[in-house]
Formats: sequence, C-alpha cells, structure tokens
Amino acid sequence: MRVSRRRFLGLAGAAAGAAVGATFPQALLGDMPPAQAAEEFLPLVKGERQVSSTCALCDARCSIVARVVDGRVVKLEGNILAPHNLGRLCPKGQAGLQVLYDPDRLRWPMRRVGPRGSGKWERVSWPQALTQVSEQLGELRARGLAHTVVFQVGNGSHFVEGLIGRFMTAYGSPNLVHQHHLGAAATTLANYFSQGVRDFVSYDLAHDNYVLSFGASFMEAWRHTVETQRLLGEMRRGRPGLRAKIVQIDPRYSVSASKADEWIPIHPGSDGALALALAHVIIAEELYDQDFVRAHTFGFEDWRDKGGLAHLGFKTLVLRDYAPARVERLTGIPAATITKLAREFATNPPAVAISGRGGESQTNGLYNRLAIHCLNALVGSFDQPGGILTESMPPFTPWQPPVLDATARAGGEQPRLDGAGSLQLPFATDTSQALPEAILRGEPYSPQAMFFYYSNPLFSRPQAQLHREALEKIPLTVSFSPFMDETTAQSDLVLPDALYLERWDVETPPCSDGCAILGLRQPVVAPLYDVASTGEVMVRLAHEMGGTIGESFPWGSYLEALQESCAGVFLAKRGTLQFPTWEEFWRELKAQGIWWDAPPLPPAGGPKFATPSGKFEFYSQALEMGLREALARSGAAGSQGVERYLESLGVQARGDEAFLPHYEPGLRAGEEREYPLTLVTFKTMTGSGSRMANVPFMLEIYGPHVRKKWQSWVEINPETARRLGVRDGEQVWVESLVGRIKAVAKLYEGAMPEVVNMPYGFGHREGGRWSRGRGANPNELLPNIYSPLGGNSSWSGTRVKVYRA
Amino acid sequence: MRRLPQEEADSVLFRPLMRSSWRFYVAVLILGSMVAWAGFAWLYQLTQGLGATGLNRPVYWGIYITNFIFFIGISHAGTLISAILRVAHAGWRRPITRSAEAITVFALMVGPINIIFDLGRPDRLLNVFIFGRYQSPLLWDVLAITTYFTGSILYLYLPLIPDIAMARDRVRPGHWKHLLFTLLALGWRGTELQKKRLHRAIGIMSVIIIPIAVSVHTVVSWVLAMTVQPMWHSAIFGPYFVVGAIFSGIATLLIAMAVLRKMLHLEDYLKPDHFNKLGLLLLVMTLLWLYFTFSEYLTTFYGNAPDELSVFYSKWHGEFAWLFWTMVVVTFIIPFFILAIPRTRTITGVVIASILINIGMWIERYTIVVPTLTRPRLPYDIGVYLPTWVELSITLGEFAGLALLYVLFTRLFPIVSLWEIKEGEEEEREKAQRVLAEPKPEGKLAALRRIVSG
Amino acid sequence: MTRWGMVIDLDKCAACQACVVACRAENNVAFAGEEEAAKGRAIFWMQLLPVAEGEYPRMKISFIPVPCMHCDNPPCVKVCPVNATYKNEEGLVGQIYTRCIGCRLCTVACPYTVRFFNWYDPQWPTEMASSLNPEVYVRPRGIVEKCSFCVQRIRRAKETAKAEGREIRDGEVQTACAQTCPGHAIYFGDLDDPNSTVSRLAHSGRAFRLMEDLGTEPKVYYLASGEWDVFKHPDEEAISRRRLSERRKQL
Ligand SMILES: Nc1nc2c(c(=O)[nH]1)N[C@H]1C(S)=C(S)[C@@H](COP(=O)(O)OP(=O)(O)OC[C@H]3O[C@@H](n4cnc5c(=O)[nH]c(N)nc54)[C@H](O)[C@@H]3O)O[C@H]1N2
Ligand SMILES: Nc1nc2c(c(=O)[nH]1)N[C@H]1C(S)=C(S)[C@@H](COP(=O)(O)OP(=O)(O)OC[C@H]3O[C@@H](n4cnc5c(=O)[nH]c(N)nc54)[C@H](O)[C@@H]3O)O[C@H]1N2
Ligand code: SF4
Ligand code: SF4
Ligand code: SF4
Ligand code: SF4
Ligand code: SF4
Ligand SMILES: [Mo]
Repeated sequence: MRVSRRRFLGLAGAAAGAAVGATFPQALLGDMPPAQAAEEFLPLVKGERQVSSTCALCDARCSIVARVVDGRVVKLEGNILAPHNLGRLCPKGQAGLQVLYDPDRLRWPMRRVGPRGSGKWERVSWPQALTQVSEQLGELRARGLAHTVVFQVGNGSHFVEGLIGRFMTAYGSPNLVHQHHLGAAATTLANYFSQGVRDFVSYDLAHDNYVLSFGASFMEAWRHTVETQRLLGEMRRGRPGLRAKIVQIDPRYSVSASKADEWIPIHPGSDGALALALAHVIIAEELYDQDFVRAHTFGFEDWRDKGGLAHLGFKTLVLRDYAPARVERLTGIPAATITKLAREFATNPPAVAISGRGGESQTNGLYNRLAIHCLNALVGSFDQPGGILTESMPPFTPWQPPVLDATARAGGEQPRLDGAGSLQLPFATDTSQALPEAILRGEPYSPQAMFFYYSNPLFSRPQAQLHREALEKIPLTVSFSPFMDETTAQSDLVLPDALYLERWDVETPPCSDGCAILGLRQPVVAPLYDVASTGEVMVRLAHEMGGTIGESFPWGSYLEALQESCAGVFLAKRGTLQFPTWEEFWRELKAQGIWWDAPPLPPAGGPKFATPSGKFEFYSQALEMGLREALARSGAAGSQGVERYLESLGVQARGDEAFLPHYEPGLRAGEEREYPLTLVTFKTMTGSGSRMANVPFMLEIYGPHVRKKWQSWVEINPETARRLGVRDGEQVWVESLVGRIKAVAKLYEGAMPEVVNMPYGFGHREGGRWSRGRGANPNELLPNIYSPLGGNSSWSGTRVKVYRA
Repeated sequence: MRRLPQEEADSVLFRPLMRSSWRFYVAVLILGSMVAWAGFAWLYQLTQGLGATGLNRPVYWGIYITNFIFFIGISHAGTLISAILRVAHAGWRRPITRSAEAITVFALMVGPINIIFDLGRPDRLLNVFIFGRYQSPLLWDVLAITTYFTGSILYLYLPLIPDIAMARDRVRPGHWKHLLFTLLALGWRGTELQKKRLHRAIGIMSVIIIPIAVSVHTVVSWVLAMTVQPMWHSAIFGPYFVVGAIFSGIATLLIAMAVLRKMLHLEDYLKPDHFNKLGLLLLVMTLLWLYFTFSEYLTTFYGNAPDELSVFYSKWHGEFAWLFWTMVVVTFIIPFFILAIPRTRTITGVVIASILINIGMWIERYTIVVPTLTRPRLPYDIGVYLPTWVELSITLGEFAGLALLYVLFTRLFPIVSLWEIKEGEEEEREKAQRVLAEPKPEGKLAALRRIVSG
Repeated sequence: MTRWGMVIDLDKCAACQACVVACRAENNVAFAGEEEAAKGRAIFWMQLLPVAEGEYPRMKISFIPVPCMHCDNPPCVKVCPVNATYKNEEGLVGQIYTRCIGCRLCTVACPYTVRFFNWYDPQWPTEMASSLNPEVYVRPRGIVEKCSFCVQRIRRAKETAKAEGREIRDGEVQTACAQTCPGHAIYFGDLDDPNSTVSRLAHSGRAFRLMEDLGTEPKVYYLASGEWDVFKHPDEEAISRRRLSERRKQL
C-alpha cells in the first residue's frame, strides 16, 4: 500500500478550527466516568535514589541519571545538567538496563579448560586469575619478550585505556593497539594535514545554515549522537525565520538521508571527486570567501617555495581537472546538481561540509577527507559560529611519567607489531588490521600474549576470519569483556569487566561547540556478579607484578587514580563546579555526574592553525614533510625518492598533486564482471559496533527505515533485484572474493542500482541467547584492505554478487 | 407417490424417538469426538493464551468472530422463517417449522460461545454484567442474543407441547423418557381451551420473535458498523446482515430438511414441493444478497476513499480475491442458475445450492471481518492472518456440535410438528391438499405470490 | 480544567526511536521476541512509523512517532462493554487492566491501531524482571493496553504539587518519551492552558492531527516538517553570531 505523505502532513492548519460542534451527544456514548476500580493504579514509590553517571554504550558518552529503587535500577534518563545530551538519551541508552541485566553476562573470571573455542570453562577466583596473568607476564618479561605482549583496546573508557597504556609502557611493550583508526584514521589525519589538529574537530551545527554531509550518519552514528539529534531541531526550528538546509551524500537512503532536505546518491568512494567539483564551481564562480582564503590558507594559488621552485596551487588543479561535467560519470551525480549544490553551499553561510566513515571508507579516504575539508576553507568556516571549532579537554592532573626499568625501555623501543609508524605505515598510530598478517608471518616477531579490552576483532574487522586464524598462533589470550563475544570465546582467560552501571570512570565526551566536558561514571548499583572493573584490575595487576611496574601505579586503588586526575579539574576552579574544598567538589561531581566548561572563544585575530604555515593548508606541508622524515628515519632517503615511496604507499598522484586534495581511485576488491555490485555496510541507531546485538529492545526495532526487526537484511534496488530474480524477503547469498553470507533480501528504493547495503551488527557466532547465530556479518565478506597512507580500512571497496539461496 | 396410512406415518416420526440405529451411534461418536477435540483445543488455548491463535495486530479478530456472525446468521433459519411463515399463514410451513426452530436454538447455543473463545479473559465474563456499559454494541449483542435465545427456546417449545404429549403417550410409563415427556408436556391433553391458548401463545410469539430476530442480526452487524473502520462503517450493514442471515438460514434449513428426510425417512412430510418453494425463497434471497453486496461494494468503489479502497482492492484483486470471488460464485452464480431453472430446482439441486450458499456465507463473514483489519488506516505493515490448528479445531467442533445437538434432538423429539400437520390437514384440508399435491402450474410469479399469501 | 495533550514536531524528530524504548522501559512493556514480533504481536505504546514514497532516486521516507492519540472523542471508549477503557475528566484515555475482558472491540475500533493485546503473559528473564518499574502494572495476558500518557508520572507530579500547595507547572509532567527525546521533538502539557507550550504549539500553522476527518479529536498534535527554501538573509551572519554570544553569556 502506498500512502501519500499528504495524508499525514498535508492537513497542516486544519487543527485549530476542526472542532466539531456536536460533542455533547457524543459524550453520552463515550464519557461515562467509570466506577473507578480501586486497584487501577499501583502505589507510587517512596524513597528512591537518583544516581548520576555516564552512558558507555557508544562513543557519545551521554550523562545519565539512574532511578534506583531497593537496590535495583528501574529506569535510566538523561542528565539535564549535561551540555551535550541535555537530559536526553538515545534508544541504546534507554535500553541500558537490558545490558546491565543481560542474563548472558559473564559472572566471574573463567579459565579455559577445553581446547580454545570449545566453550568449556572453569571458574577461578580473582586472586587466582591475577596471579596467573602476572606470573605469565613476569615470565615473558624475564625472557626478554615483554614487547611481544599486545593489548588491543576499543571504544571503552578512555581513562582505563590510559592506565592500560601506562601499564604497557612500564611493562615494556610498544603494542597498545587501539581500533579507533578503523573509523577515524582518515578524519583525524586529514584534520592534521590540513588544519594541524590530529583529532576530531567540532562542528558548530547549531548555527549552520547549510550542512553538506559526505557519508556522515549524523542521525544514526557519527559522533555526539544525542547532541546532533538536538542540533537537527536547532538548525530547523531554533531560529525563527531561518531553516538550515541539510544535504546527505550517501549511496544509500539512510535515516540521516530521510532527515536531510536532499539526498544525493553517490558512487561509493567518489566523494573526493565530488568535493573537488564543488570547489571547482565555487572557485570558478568566485563564490568563495576571498578574505579568508587570502589570509588564512596556504597553497590556494600557484606558489613558489623558498628554493624558488614553482608549485601547483589548489585553484589551478581544481579548475583544470574537476569540472562538474568530468566528475558526473565518476560520482553518478548530474553536473547540474553539482553546480546547484556548490552555489547553495557557498552562498548560504555559515555552511559546513562534514564527513564520516562513509566519505572516507575506502583506501582513498584520506584524500577524500582532505577534499571535503577544503570546502570548509573555501567558505571560511573555521573558528566562527556555525564553523569548525577545536575540541577542548578538562584540566586533568597530569600523571607522573611511568617508571621504566631497562626491560621496559628496551621493549618500548621494539617496532610495533602492527607496523604503525613504520615506513610502510608512516602516519598510522594504530593499525589493528595489520596484526593478523604480522602474526601469521611471525614478523617482526611472534606475539606471546594478547589482551582485549572493549575490542572484538573476530567480529568487527574486515575479513574477521583472518583474526581468528591469527589468534590461534598466540599462546596466551585474555579478554576483559563482560560478554562472551567472538574474541572472548577464543581466549584462555576471561576477566569480566564490571558493566558501565557498576563501575567508576571518567569520560570526556565530545560536544559540538568544543565545550570541555568531564563525565563521571560511578556505580549505580553494586556489581551484580563477581566481576571487577578493568581499571581496578590493571592497578591490581601492576601491584601484583611489583617492581617498576608497581611503582608506576602509585595509587592504592583505581578510584584513587581517578580522583587524582579529577583533582586537576578541582584545582583549576573553572567551569560548572567550583568549590573551596575537594570534598565539596567531589560530592557535587558525584551528585551532578558532570563537570563542564564553556567552549573557548574564537581566537582573536581570526582562526589559528597548528600547521607549518600557521594557515589552513590546501597544500599539506605536514604530509610532505612527514613522508620525507619517514624516509629519512628509515635511512632510505637517498636511495628511494618520494615519488617511489608514494608508489609503495599506493598513491597514484605524483608531484604536488600528491600533497594537494585530489581524487585517487580507491582500491576495489573483485572484478566488476564477476562481482557487479558494491557492498556498503552501515551502522544503525540501534546498534553499537558489535554490541547491542543481545539487547531485545534494540533487536525489536532494529531497522526502522526498512521495517526490519530481529533479523539482518541486504538492501537491493528493486530494479536490480528484478534483474537478479530476487524477490523481497527471500534468502540470498552475498558473495565476495573472500566469502559468502546469507541474508534476507530487502527490496529498497533507497538502494543505488549498483550498490547493496547491509547493516553492521548482526551475524554473531558467539554471544548471548539473542545475538548468537542471528543474521549475517558483512565483515566475513570484506577483504582486509586498508590504506597504507591513511591507515583506515576499506569499508565500501568490496564488490559482491548476489544470488538466490 | 406412496402414501402411508396416518398411523404408519406417525410412527415414522416417532420411530427415532423409540429406538436408535447404529448410524445414530456412529454419528454421535464422530461428532462427539470432534467436539471433544475442539474442547481440548480450547483448553490448550486457555492455558496458552490467545497467542495460540493466528490472531495478531492488526488482525485482532479472525474466525471466531466469523463463526459468531455466521452461526447467528443461520440461527435465522428457524425462528424467523417459521414465524414469518406462521404469521403469513403459509400452510406448507407446517412440516418444516420444527426443524427450523431447532436450528435456531442450537445455532444460538453455538454462535455466542465464539465470543467466549475469542475473549482474552473469559474468566472475567461476568464483568459484562457487573460493569456493563449500554453504549457498547457488544452489550447490545448480549441483550439481543439472550432475548432471542430465550424467545427461540420458547418458540420451539410451545409448538412442541402437543407432540411431546403424544410422545409421552407412546412411551412406556416408568421409562425416563416418559418422565421427561410428562414434565415437558405440562399436562397437555389437547383440550380446546389448551389448543386455543397454545395458538394464542404461538401467535404472539411469532409476532414478537420477528423484530427480535431482525434486531439480533442488526446489532451483530453493528459491532462492526459502529466502528469507523473502512468497509465496516456502513449504514447498510444492518439489513445486509439480516438478509445474509435469512439467506444462510434458509440454506441451512434446507440442508437440515434434506438430511432429516433421508435419515428419518420423512419423505412424506418433507416433500419436493417444500424444497421447491424454499428453493424459490432462496432464489429471492440470492438476488437480494447480490443486490446488497453490489450496493455495498459499488458505493465503496465509487466513493474512492483511499482507506476504503485499500480494503476493497484487497478483496477485488488482492490476497482475499480468491475468497471473495469464490464467495460470489458459490453464493450467487451457481445457486442462481440451480434455483432459477425449474429442472435443477430439485431436492438435490436445492441442497447443493444450499451447501454452496452456506460455504459462501461463511466466506462472506470472513471477508467482512478480516480484510478490513489487515488494512489499518495508518500505513503499518499489512496484516496477515492464518488461523492455527486451535482455531480450525474449534471451528470444526462448532459445526460438529451443532450437528450433534441436532441429532440428539431428533432422537428425543419429533422433528416434524405432527399436531400442526394434523390440524392443518383437518382445518385446511382442501386448500392444503391443493397446495401440497399440485405441481404449480402457474409459474414462478404466481408461486411466489402464493408463498407470500400462504 | 487540565486537558493533557502532546505535540510532536516532525521537523525536529530524528527518527531515533528513543521514545519507543523509553516508553517500553518506563511502562514495563515486554519485548515479544522474534517469532511473535514477526506475527505483529510486539507491543509498542509508542512506535515510529515509516511512510515510504517514491522510487529511486526520488525516494522519501517520513517517520512519524505514534502514541495513543488520547482522542477527545475516543472511538475505543465508546465501544468498551465494561468500561475498562474510559476518558477521564483530564482527557486521559485510561485503561483498567483489572477489568478488561479482552474482547478487543476497542482495538478494532481504534482508527489509529494503537491498542495492543497481550497474546501471552509477558516474559522477561529473571534478571531483566528486576528492572521493572514498580509504579506500573505488569499486564497479564488476555487484556488490552496502550499508551497511558505516563499516568503514573502525572500522578506523581500532582502529588508533588499538592504537597507543595501549588498548581502543576507547565512542563512539569514529562512523559518518558518526551523526557528522553533527543530531538526535543515531543512536548507534553495542558492543552487547556492557553499559555502552555503545547497549546501554543497546537495552534501553530504547522500543526495537524492524524485523520482529523474522523472527528476523533486527537490530543496528539503533529508539527509538519517544512521544506528548505532557497533564501538569502542579509542579517543571517549577525543573527547566528548574536546567538552564539548569547549562549556564551548564559554559560
Ligand atoms: N548508533 C551508533 N553510533 C555510533 C556507533 C555505533 O556503532 N552505533 N559507532 C561509533 C563509531 S566507533 C564510529 S567510527 C562512528 C561512525 O559514524 P559515521 O562516520 O557516521 O559512520 P557510519 O555510521 O558507518 O556511516 C557510514 C555511512 O556512509 C555511507 N557510505 C558508505 N560508503 C560511502 C561512500 O563511499 N560515500 C559516501 N558519501 N557515503 C558512504 C553509508 O551508507 C553510511 O550511511 O559512529 C559512532 N557512533
Ligand atoms: N562491516 C562493518 N564493520 C565495522 C564497521 C562498520 O561500519 N561496518 N565499523 C567499524 C568501526 S568504526 C569500529 S570502531 C568497530 C567497532 O567494533 P568492535 O571492535 O567490535 O567494538 P565494540 O563493538 O565497540 O565493542 C567490542 C567488545 O567490547 C565488549 N564490551 C562491551 N561492554 C564492555 C564493557 O563494559 N567492558 C569491556 N571491557 N568490554 C566490553 C563487547 O563484548 C564487544 O564485543 O567496528 C568496525 N567494523
Ligand atoms: S548516544 Fe551513546 S552514550 Fe548517548 S545514550 Fe546513546 S548509547 Fe549512550
Ligand atoms: S525520541 Fe524524539 S527524535 Fe527520537 S524518534 Fe522519538 S520523537 Fe523522534
Ligand atoms: S487513539 Fe485509539 S486508543 Fe487512543 S484514544 Fe483514540 S481511539 Fe482510543
Ligand atoms: S478489550 Fe478490554 S478495554 Fe477493550 S473493549 Fe474489550 S473490555 Fe474494553
Ligand atoms: S506518553 Fe508515556 S505511555 Fe505514552 S508513549 Fe509516551 S512514554 Fe509511552
Ligand atoms: Mo569506529
């Protein structure tokens, strides 16, 4: 049944006058006041507690207030005092109690008794477990193998991550491998190359009139989820008479697209070309902010360096190569549309171009992001309302540096196992995707132990199978997960973390206006089972190991470490909590659950950039210098020119172009003839990475745009489906070079004819009663391809074929 | 045609009361176990909750409500038809009124139970009386149906009295049946005074029962029509349902008559001409049904309201089309030709038509109840409804139950109103003789006129 | 007299379904599970209804959060045989769980299909059952339920107001869905108070109600989402700068 939207929306205005006169006789039919049943309502509860804390179900880290009755949490709400979520929670946050009270939680430390993955465990006590770990770690250390210990961390508590890093340093291993690069490497690196900030930046969306989103799922995932959702309203209804326009550039019609004013389907991986074509129009029609470009950018016009060498300017490059008509075929977007978008973008300030994993999710991600970010420079959207702001941090007490003995120093100097920062991956800080190959090759060395904190590579990385294989080669694997995820199921020892509602942490949530926020996480209830917060475990493990490692953890407990950090915030006497004594500060911090400080004012005299030129760099000197330095460090500078180096890094452009935003074709896995479709995976509001798959409340509302619940699906354009002979609701195989999975076909007008889409989050092989064996995991299809330059994985660079199962 | 002496004829009627054939036992056994199975299904449903059915959101009602409407419909077989015929002094009614009235009573026993099957909380049934709200169509139903049921029992019972007395006189005293009949006969001796009073009472009842019967099916339709739902919210529903009810009622009656005639050898009492006449009545009803259906659907179609149309199209060419068109074929097209052509309007023909009509009318009830619910006004997912074994078992059990009650009844009481026949023969021998014996030479129209004028 | 009503701004709604989950968590609505949900038996006092139109690439989905409309002229109340659903003097359409006989006449009569039947007894693993809201009944099988406008919260607010000897303030009662709505798209309050947020919004030019032609007089108003127009505001820069500095001043 196709129903016109008019039926719902076209009735506007009729409301006021619509009252029908004859309500009195109608009242006779309806308004019988009932003989009230005495038992109609339950008595209201007396004496409940409200405990403030911080959500941990995704990276947005909203501040929450828990309603506690008789020691049980009965409801979670947003904390009204928080500047980012302003008292609101997303559906995941609302379902938090189904995470806390998940019947399939791990309840105590366990040691594997059967072969790995056999599911046979014995319960061990915490002291036993800690002794085992410290003994094994001690032994490795004694054998000079400290550096072969790897710690994989994911989107957990940043504070605990800090402690883990400290432990690793004191212990003597360089191998703390974070997974944030999976989604963020291209973003943060491009920010660094162009504006000198190696981090996320804030977009002051509340004041924007025009938002161009290159594959940022700003309504489903992206960054400060709940805040962005509020900002949608701000942009539309917050300013009388002013309604921002939002354009979603995305191969699929996502929920974000539905909330945008315009959806522009784009061929996956071609965002850079589109951004440059937009720049072409803006420059050709002289719509750019000439003052800003002149005063605050570098490399716009053709220029000469100190040596007098002529260099290609951004303007020349763009005008030469990126006319809309030339980009039309590449992106699938009509030239007229490109021109229109460019004009709108440039003439409706403040405007920003934002991007997410989508626009950067191929091997060309770094250059795509650079191209997208240039648009912001063209309209001067930096350090001004509606523009790009720098994030700021609370003034935590800095820790004393860890105490290092000779072993620690020696170990720390070993090359990283994932190769991040090496000649092959010059700019990467972490490259967890590279681990399996290194492990399977045994180079540069074979890891002897691997720890997992908030990380589930056996599910969440491309070609997840590879990680399983690699894991088999590691003698000791330890997981801190409170859930039996795929990785945990393959480990030797499980040290279940306390759940977020049972533990202490400090968090620094992002905020759109660059506000510094400290979110306190405190136990809302005592741990339900014999579990311990990983922070506490790290402190105790360090103490157990003793020596310089123990010395590096000078705190009696995890809480003490945490309070020491917060003391800096107390001492700074800034922001929302300013008290004469620490006790008062701490009491209030616990009561309010949050501290925050107003965003820094825009720098006087216009924006400042921490780049070599102090300006926004179209031509990235940091990129150029970085490459040269990497070459020099490896002693290859002489023999290997930058050109050849670029080639080895998979960059096709040569000369100046390589340091300018330009379009690089991304790598595609699979021949078009055999695999005619491209696979796009996406996150949903209801999922969180590999998590939330065992939460019934989420499963029951999983994909609202396709009305799917409790199952995963593959979105196929109806026309394509007809060609493939696939009907709606049928099981189909989706096959790539590296595997095939079965999913339910969903015929969807929001899918591009040559692209199929699958949600990420289903297809667990392990897990709880609801997650295990439900749906399919697209990561079994993605070959492990990543960009050596950016370090990010190729998420939408996989070709597939689809056929009936 | 073979004519039996009066005595012999009477004993044909009383024979089943006296001794039972093996066929009776087989029938009781089969029907009884179907009912028992349905009972088990219901118990299962009670322990599981209504989740055991195929009902869901938005298809909140399914074949229980369909059955409810259907059985209430066929209950019009009896009381209403016999009352109309009585009031109209149609002499040929005499042999058939009893079996008609019995159908009413049993259908009224079976039909409303469906409401209990359908209730989420049958244990709270009494709330209807404790908290009853008279603005609710459901309460109107409760009222109308209880009244109709009481009336129908009375209406079945009154004309039974003389026959019970007759039966009493034939049963050996001391037998339990003697006791039962004595009690039920209320000391009937067949005196003039008694006869006069009985006639009076029956006369009054037959006048009263007509509006009650009409009201019953009207309010049944109002349970649907009082909502604002597409293709339910229709002013035509009252008469439409009443016509449908009479229609399926007559059809059921014809089936029952045919079965009785065969099983109990009542060829002398239920004559081809009865079938012929009722067949003609059925023909009229077919046309009337078509008329109502046509008006109902044409107005919907012509009105072109999107909500209504989406239900309409679900029946016209959507997932209910096969049911809808089957219904049109079996309730109208085939019966029309069978009934309109004198050569096919034989007993067999009429019975075939009747069976088809009943199937069709059940489908009609189903395609009224379910499609509307599958098309919520807001664009939720389209509803899908598949009855489960529980619902199907219970439904079959209901049909079996109705048949079982009927079979048992025929074993207890004469299924043909003997005294009325006798009376009729005496009082109107001339006229009745002519009407019964003559094949109607005057053609359809005159026959129709006669049916109406008696 | 108070007349409780809700306004949902579709232009601000982010289609996130936080309202859906908040409502289930607040009101002890059990999840149905895969099989039952596939049969359409999941209970959602609040649901997000997608309305899809058009073909690729001119595709449009509008999302509409749908609770019970608490009709002023409720078709469901009329038909209930036992007064198990009723409209009270504050306009709430309530449900007496202990009285309902489960006939589902109200569910078929509700033109918005927002009444739900308990096909089975609700089931939670023991662990999850401990997070149930002690102020809200767990409804047994066989009866009907629907959005209550979080009547327990209204009762609590009344009690508080009474204890403090004052009237309930505008915005004081927050339903669970409104409280969590990340888009700040849901408003709740007294439609009879001309100064309340809801009554002012309900009179906005964007306001409409679902199926007004049915005469049910819903007390849930929607604000239509607008379209973006090409515009050129000479003072837009000034406006946004002023807002930012205002915000900073507030901080
Ligand atoms: N609800 C929820 N929120 C989350 C997370 C979560 O799991 N759930 N995870 C957090 C984490 S770790 C991260 S990294 C962020 C990620 O948040 P985002 O950066 O917003 O990334 P995704 O959600 O993966 O969205 C990818 C989108 O890009 C589209 N896309 C794919 N290929 C292309 C392309 O080539 N071009 C363009 N233009 N679009 C493309 C996809 O269709 C999809 O809509 O979200 C964070 N927030
Ligand atoms: N196909 C596809 N794959 C993707 C993506 C995609 O969009 N599409 N996105 C990628 C991105 S950007 C990212 S960041 C990754 C994220 O994917 P993952 O690395 O899997 O990270 P998470 O899902 O955030 O959580 C990992 C594990 O943490 C454990 N965990 C949960 N709660 C706790 C806790 O309280 N304490 C501890 N110690 N552990 C806990 C859970 O068992 C979970 O398995 O996925 C990547 N993979
Ligand atoms: S956005 Fe993230 S942090 Fe905020 S409530 Fe949702 S899951 Fe929790
Ligand atoms: S919580 Fe608010 S923003 Fe989210 S779907 Fe509901 S109404 Fe829309
Ligand atoms: S929306 Fe439905 S359930 Fe709610 S008051 Fe109106 S008719 Fe009743
Ligand atoms: S289901 Fe309950 S509330 Fe609804 S009409 Fe029947 S008794 Fe009334
Ligand atoms: S008002 Fe309360 S009961 Fe109604 S939908 Fe919102 S949260 Fe649920
Ligand atoms: Mo990520």
